[in-house]
Parts: sequence; C-alpha cells; structure tokens
Amino acid sequence: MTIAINNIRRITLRVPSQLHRALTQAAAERDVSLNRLAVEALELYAVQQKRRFPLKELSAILAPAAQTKGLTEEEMMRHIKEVRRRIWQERYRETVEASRKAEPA
Amino acid sequence: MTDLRVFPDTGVLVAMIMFPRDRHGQVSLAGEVLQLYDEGAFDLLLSRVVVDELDEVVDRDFLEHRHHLLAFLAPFEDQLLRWPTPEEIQAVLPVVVDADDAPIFAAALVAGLDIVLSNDFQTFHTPQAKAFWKQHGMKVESLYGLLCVFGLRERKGELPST
Repeated sequence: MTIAINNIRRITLRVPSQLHRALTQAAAERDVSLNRLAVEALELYAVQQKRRFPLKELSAILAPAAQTKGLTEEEMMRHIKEVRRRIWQERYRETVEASRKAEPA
Repeated sequence: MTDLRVFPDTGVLVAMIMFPRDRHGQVSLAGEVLQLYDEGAFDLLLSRVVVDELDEVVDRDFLEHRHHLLAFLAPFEDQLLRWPTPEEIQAVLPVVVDADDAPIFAAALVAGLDIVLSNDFQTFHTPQAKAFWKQHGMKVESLYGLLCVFGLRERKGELPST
C-alpha cells in the first residue's frame, strides 16, 4: 500500500524499555522496521475500535496481490467451489450422513 | 437502514475483498458494496463456514498474506456465527443443488438475517432456494440487487419509483 508523503503524520511515543525490546525483536523476526510494526499494530487497534469487519483494510492488501498474480474473479469463484467441495468431504459429509441415519424412520 | 443484516456467501466476500475494481480500474459492484459496508450502511453477518472457505482460498492463493487475514479477523472471533450442526445441515439438503452447498445454506439459516448476498445464481437464486429463503423470512440479493435495495441502481424491468 503506497501512501503519499503529505498524508503521513508523525507521532512520538514514550514506551517502557521492556516493551521497546519486545517490539524491536518482533520487528526483526518479521524483517520489518519498528515503524512498520507499530503502524500495523495501530491499524489493527483502529479496526478493533470500529467493530466492523476490516474488509476494506484486507482489500487494500489482497486486491493488489490478486492483480499482481493475474487472478480473475472467475478463477477465484472456481477455487471457492473446489475448496467448498473438499471441506464438505473432509469435515461435514460423514457427520451429516451419520445424523441422517440416526433419525427415527 | 443501519440494522439491515446481510449474510455474504464466500464468493461475494472474495469479490468485495479482492476485486473492488474491475480490470479497467473502475469501481466494481463488489467495490460499491464494500464502500457501503465501510460507511455503515448495513451489518455483515460472517459465518465460520464462510470464513473457513475464505481462509482456505487465501491459504491456497495468497499464502504470504494469510497472516493478515488471521490477524485482522482474530479480534472479531466473538462476532462470527457458529458452525451449523449436522442436523441443521441435513435439514437443508433437499433445497440445495449440490450437497457441498448445504453448510452455507444452514449457516445462513442459523444467522437470523435479512438478506443472503450471493452472485451464485445457479445455487442461491434458484426458484427452490428463493422459496426457502422466503419461507424463513429472508431474501436473496445479488451485488447489483443490494445496490437496488439502497436506491443506487434500478431493478431491471422495473419502472423507476416516482
């Protein structure tokens, strides 16, 4: 996601050294900057406050990814059908058939 | 109309998230519906059945972004609708064209919703399915149909209201 420089605001935080160490370590493990990690954490907080599913935020990440991969909506719908069939076979079919057999005739 | 409860199937959810614009860069119908949701025009009821499918699709096609999906949805665990029971799934089998669609139908039934949102006309908009939704006090809309509900499009074949 690209954000124009003039849309950036700076905030300075004072955090306990222990938290600072933990965040620095987490950023290093994910190979992102401490700033990036903090921005992601704040975005997540903002989403939680809204109590609405963060579909637009997810879309900002996944829509460009779909475009980069050249995936079309038709392909994705086909993938969903395939996934649905597999989930049915692996998770539901057996228990649903068992419940049908358990019904009194 | 902020208390309208809309249950999206996995297809429209994926369309809203991944295809808010068409190949020419224009806002798609899914993008318009996403914008409406973001503005608070309606409530989305997300079922664990739908989220399971979304997770599997993301895992398959966007593995490197799956952690975003999980992190973004984790705070909303308590808002996800429960999985339907085997008995609830079995009860809807006579209505569905393919048995593998039954968990979605059953999930919609346990949701207590107003509108099932799906662009899968061969599954969710069949005369039998429509009768089923109606019988349970719901109706099914496509993305276009939902925009009609909000007065942003006109129903095809209908005269504009005066």
